[in-house]
Amino acid sequence: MRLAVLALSIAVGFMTSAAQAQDKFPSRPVTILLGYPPGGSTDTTARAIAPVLERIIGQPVVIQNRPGAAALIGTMQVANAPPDGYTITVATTQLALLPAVDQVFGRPPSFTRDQFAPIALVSADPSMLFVNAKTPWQDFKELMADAKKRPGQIVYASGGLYGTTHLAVEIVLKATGARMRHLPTAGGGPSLTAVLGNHAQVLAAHPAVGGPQARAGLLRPVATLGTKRVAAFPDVPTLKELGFDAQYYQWNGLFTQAKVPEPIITFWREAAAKAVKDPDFIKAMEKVGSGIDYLDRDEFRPWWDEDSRKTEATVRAIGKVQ
Amino acid sequence: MAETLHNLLLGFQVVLDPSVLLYAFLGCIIGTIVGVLPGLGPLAGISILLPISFGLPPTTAIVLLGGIYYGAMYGGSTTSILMRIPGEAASVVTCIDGYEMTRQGRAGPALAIAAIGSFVAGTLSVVALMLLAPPLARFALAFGPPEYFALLMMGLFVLSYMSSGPMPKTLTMAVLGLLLGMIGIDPMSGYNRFSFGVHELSDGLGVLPLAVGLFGVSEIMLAYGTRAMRPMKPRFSELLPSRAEARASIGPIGRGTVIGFLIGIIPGSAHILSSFVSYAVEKKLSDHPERFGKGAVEGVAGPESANNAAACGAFVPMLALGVPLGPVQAILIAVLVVHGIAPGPLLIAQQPQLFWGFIASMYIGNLVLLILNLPLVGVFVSLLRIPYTYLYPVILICCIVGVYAVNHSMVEVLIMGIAGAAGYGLRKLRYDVAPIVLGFILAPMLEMAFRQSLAMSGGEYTIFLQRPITVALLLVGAALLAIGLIPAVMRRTRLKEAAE
Repeated sequence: MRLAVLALSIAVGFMTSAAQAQDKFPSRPVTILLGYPPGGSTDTTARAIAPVLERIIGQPVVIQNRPGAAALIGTMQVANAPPDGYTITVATTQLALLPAVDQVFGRPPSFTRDQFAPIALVSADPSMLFVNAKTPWQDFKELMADAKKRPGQIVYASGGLYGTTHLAVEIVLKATGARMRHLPTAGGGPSLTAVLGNHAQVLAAHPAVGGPQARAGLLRPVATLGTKRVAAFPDVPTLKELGFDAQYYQWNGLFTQAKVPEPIITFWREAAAKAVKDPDFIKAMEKVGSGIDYLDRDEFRPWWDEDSRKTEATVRAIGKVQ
Repeated sequence: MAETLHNLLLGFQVVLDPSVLLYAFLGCIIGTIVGVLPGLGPLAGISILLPISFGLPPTTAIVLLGGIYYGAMYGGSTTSILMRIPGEAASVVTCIDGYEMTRQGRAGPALAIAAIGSFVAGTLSVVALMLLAPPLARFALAFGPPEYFALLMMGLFVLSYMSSGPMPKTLTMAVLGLLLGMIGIDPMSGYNRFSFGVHELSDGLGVLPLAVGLFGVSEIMLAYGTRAMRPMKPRFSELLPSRAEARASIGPIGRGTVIGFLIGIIPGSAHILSSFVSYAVEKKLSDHPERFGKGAVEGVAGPESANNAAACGAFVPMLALGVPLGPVQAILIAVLVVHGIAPGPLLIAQQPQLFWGFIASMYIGNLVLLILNLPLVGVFVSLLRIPYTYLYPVILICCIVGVYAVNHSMVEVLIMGIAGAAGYGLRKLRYDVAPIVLGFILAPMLEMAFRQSLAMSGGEYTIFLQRPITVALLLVGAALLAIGLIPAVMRRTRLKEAAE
C-alpha cells in the first residue's frame, strides 16, 4: 500500500514537472499592477489594453490598483514583485520623479528607475497651456509679456507638488525665463476648479481635460507643449513655433521588472505590438481622448531616458519648496 | 418650468427602461450593503464596482454608481445607531445620539427617522439640483482657498458643540484630533511629516480606520467589560417614531437639508462636515441642549438629513461644469470619459438623456431606498437580539475586512486597532472621542486652505480681507464667538458684583 502511494506520488511528480517544462509563458493569469487609483490616465489606458492583451496572450489579465503616497506604494510593489513576467504595469513619469524627489529631500530612494524594464510606449499626449477666459491674455505672447512685467505675480495651479501639471508649467517657465506663483491643489479636478473660479489663472492640462472647458468658453488654450499642433485645436501654436524649445508629454508606457528574462520581455513586446494595432484598443483610446504613440522597447528606451533626465533636472531645479 | 417638466419626463423615460431601472435598484441595494458594512465607505464601494460599470452604457453606469453612492449614505447610519460603529465618515455624528437611543430601546425610531430624514433631504436636494444646477455651480466656483479657509474656521466653532462633557476635556480631544490630522505628506512642500518611514502613513491615518477604531472597536471592548453598557432589548411594538419624536424631527430635517446641500456644493471634502455642522446647529437651537448626547432624536434627524443632502449637492458642479469635488465624483467623471463623453459645462445641453436620466434615477433611488430601509428597520433591530458573545466577534471581523478592503492595507487595520485601544482608554477616563474625529477631519483641510491662500497672495495676509465672501464668513464666525463668550463674560461681571 505504502509502495503504491509512493509510486503514485512519483508518477504525479513526473507528470507535473513534465507539464511545467512544456509550459509556455504565460501559464497563469497576469496582473497589471497600478500605482494610481481607478479613473486616472494610467488606469484608463490599462483598462483599454487589458481585454485586448487577454485575447492575444490567452490568459486572464487582472488589473489591481494600489494607490497611495503619490503612487509610491503601488510602484514599489511592482519594483519588488517576483521578476517572472506575471506582473506588469502601466507607468509614467513617476518612475523617474519619485526617486528624484527622494533625492531632493536627502532620503534613500524607495525604488530606482533601473529596477524597471520598458516594454513599449503606448501613448504620449502633449500637455496644453490654458488660461482662464476672463483674463486679458489672448495668446501665449501676451501672457508671457505680462508675466515678465510682473514676475511672480500671476498664479498657476497644479494638481500637486512635483506632479505632471506642476512640471509642465515649470518647464515652460524655465524655457521662457518668466516667473509665476504656484498654487498646488489636491489633484487634477481641484486644480481645474481653481482656474475655472479664477483663483489661479494658468493651468497645464491634458487636451481631453481642458478641451471641454475651452469649447464652453471658460478656458482659453494658448500653447501646445508638443512638437505638433493638437488636432482638436488646430489654431493653437506649439511652443516651438513660438520660438521656445520646450516640450511636455503626458505619456503611458508598459513596464515590467528589469530582472525579467529577455525571452519573456520579448513575448510582452510582441504582445504590445499586436495590441496597439487592435481595433478595440484604438476605439477605447479614442473614447478617452488619447492618441496612440507606439514605440517598441528599443526606441522607447532612449525616449524614456531622455524624458527621465528632463524630469529629474526639473525636480532638482524646483528643489525644496520653502 | 414647462421645459423642465418636459426634460424630466425624458429622464423618466430613460430610467423606466427595464435594464436601467434594474441597475438603479441594484445600485441602491449594493450601496445599502456597502454603507451598513463598517469601514467600507461609498468610495470603496464605487471603486470596487467601477470595472463592471465600464462595460455598461454610460447612463446605466452612472445610475448604478450614483445609486451605490447615495445608498451608502442611507446605510451608513445603520451601524452607527445600532452598534456605535460609523458605516462611513459622514455618519460619525449619528453615533452620538443614535446609539444612545438604541441603549434606551429606541433603535427602531432612530433608524426610521434616519431613513425618513434621508428620503426628505435626498428628494428636496434633487429638486434643487434639477432647477438650479448651473447657477449653483457658478456660486460654488467662487469658493477658492480663502473662502474655504473662512468656512473651515467656522467649522472650528462646531468643535465646541461636539461633546456634552466639560469644555477642557472636549478641547483637549479636539487638539489631539488636529494633531493626528497633521500626519502625512505636507501638500505644500512635499515633506513627509510624522510618518517615520512608513509609506502607508504618508497619506495620513485615514478617517475610516480612525473612526471605526475610536467608536466601534472601543465600544466592543467596553461592552465586554461591563454588563451595564449593553443596550436594552428593543420593543417591537415601537419600531416607528412616536408622535413627539416625529414632531421634534421636522425642524432638524428641514434645516439639515438646507445646510447639507449648501455645504455639499462647495469644492473640497467639506461634505463630511455637513453632519457635524447640522448637529451643532440643532444643539444650539434646542431648548434643551443638555439632552444632546443622551439620545436626542434631533441629533439623528438633522445630521442624517444633512449628510444625504450634501451627497446630492456634490453632484452640482460635476454635472453642471464637469469638475469633480471629491474622489467619488472624480471616479464618476472617469466613467463618462471612458465612454467617450466629455464632462464639461456643455454636458447638460449635449447629453440631456444622461443628465435628466440621472436626475430621474435619483428620484426613484430615494424612493427605493425608503421602501427598502423602512421594513429593514425591523430586521436590523432584531440583530440586537443576537447574544453579544456571537454578535460582537462577527462585527469585529466585518470591521477588519471592511477597513482592509479599501486599500488592501494591513497598516490601516493596525491603525484601527490602535485607535480602538486608545478609544477604550479615553472613554474609561470619560473623554469623548467625537471631537477627535472632527479635529482630524478639519486639520488638513484648514491647513491646506490657509497655506493655499497665502500661496495665492505671495504671503500677504490681507487676502483674507479683500474677498467679500471671506470677509462675510469671518464676520459671522466672529459674531458666533462673541455670542458664545457673552454668558462667560456676564458670569464674571456678576461674580465681580457679588464680590464687591
